[in-house]
Amino acid sequence: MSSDGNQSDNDMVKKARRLLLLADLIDNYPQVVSRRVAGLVYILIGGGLSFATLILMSLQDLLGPGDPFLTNLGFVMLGLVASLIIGFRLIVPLTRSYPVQPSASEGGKVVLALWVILGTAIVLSSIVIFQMGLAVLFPPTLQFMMGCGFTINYALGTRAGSFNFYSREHIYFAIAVFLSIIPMLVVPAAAYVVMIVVDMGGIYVIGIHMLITAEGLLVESEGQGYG
Amino acid sequence: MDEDSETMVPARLSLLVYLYFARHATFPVLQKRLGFTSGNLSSHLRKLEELGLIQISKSFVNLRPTTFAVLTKEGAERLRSQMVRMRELVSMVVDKETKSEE
Repeated sequence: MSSDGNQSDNDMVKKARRLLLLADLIDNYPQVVSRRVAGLVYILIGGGLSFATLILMSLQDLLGPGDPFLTNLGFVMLGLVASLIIGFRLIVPLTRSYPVQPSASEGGKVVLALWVILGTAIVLSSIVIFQMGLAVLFPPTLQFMMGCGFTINYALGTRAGSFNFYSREHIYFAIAVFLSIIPMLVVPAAAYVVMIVVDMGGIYVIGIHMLITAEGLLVESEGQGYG
Repeated sequence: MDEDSETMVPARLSLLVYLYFARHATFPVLQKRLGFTSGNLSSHLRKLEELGLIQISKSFVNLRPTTFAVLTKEGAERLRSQMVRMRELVSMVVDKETKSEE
């Protein structure tokens, strides 16, 4: 009877551990959804910027090069705004069914504020650079600000404890962006090509990687010591 | 508390957990995956809809009328908070069992 009792207790403990694992999976699932959505938004931004580049370069072929500052501003704004509108209208609502912890959403607001400030800094520095006739400095300046932005993204993420969300892709991308400044300064004629390859390629890689590794957050739950 | 007892019925909990990960499912899929009879499933889905935890809609798929169940935001929040509470209680018991075994 005693061994039957022990067996029954062991079965109950096993069931309890499985229940704990299920609770962990449910608790972590909103982060999986957020990560998938973020990956999709990155891919959409990459797609939007690619499309805008195509349109503007085609227009430049038809109408002539035009003002380089306005051309660059148009390229960035058209691509980003279109991508973000589509992304936030179509994709981000998916996260509403899976609300994240308040601390995570507060972290999201800080990141949004960061990118608003960086965006403003990019526009203002562009105006100054082109006004001073130093167009060759625009790509490296933009890369420097992008690199700072992604580095701060990563740093804020690790500090806020939402490390699984702001994972290492962001810091690797930041390093690639900073390193790309070197060839831009050495070969200024190739600066825009370097920027497109590194930034656009990087955005696609981050987006795809976040999508395919999102469920890895659930696998980590299984190693939480309950099983 | 009353609402918790309504959703903590194992059959309804299994429905909510399935819809939590799948987001939406049709009636035949729920019946097959979770092993419900048709009447049983209808009754549980109706109750969950009354509680505002799921939304039920009907449409035609391949010219056949099909019932879809979708988890609402409130349903996802309720399930998550209940499972987190359950986790706290159960891990207290598991820790106590482990210590008594030692």
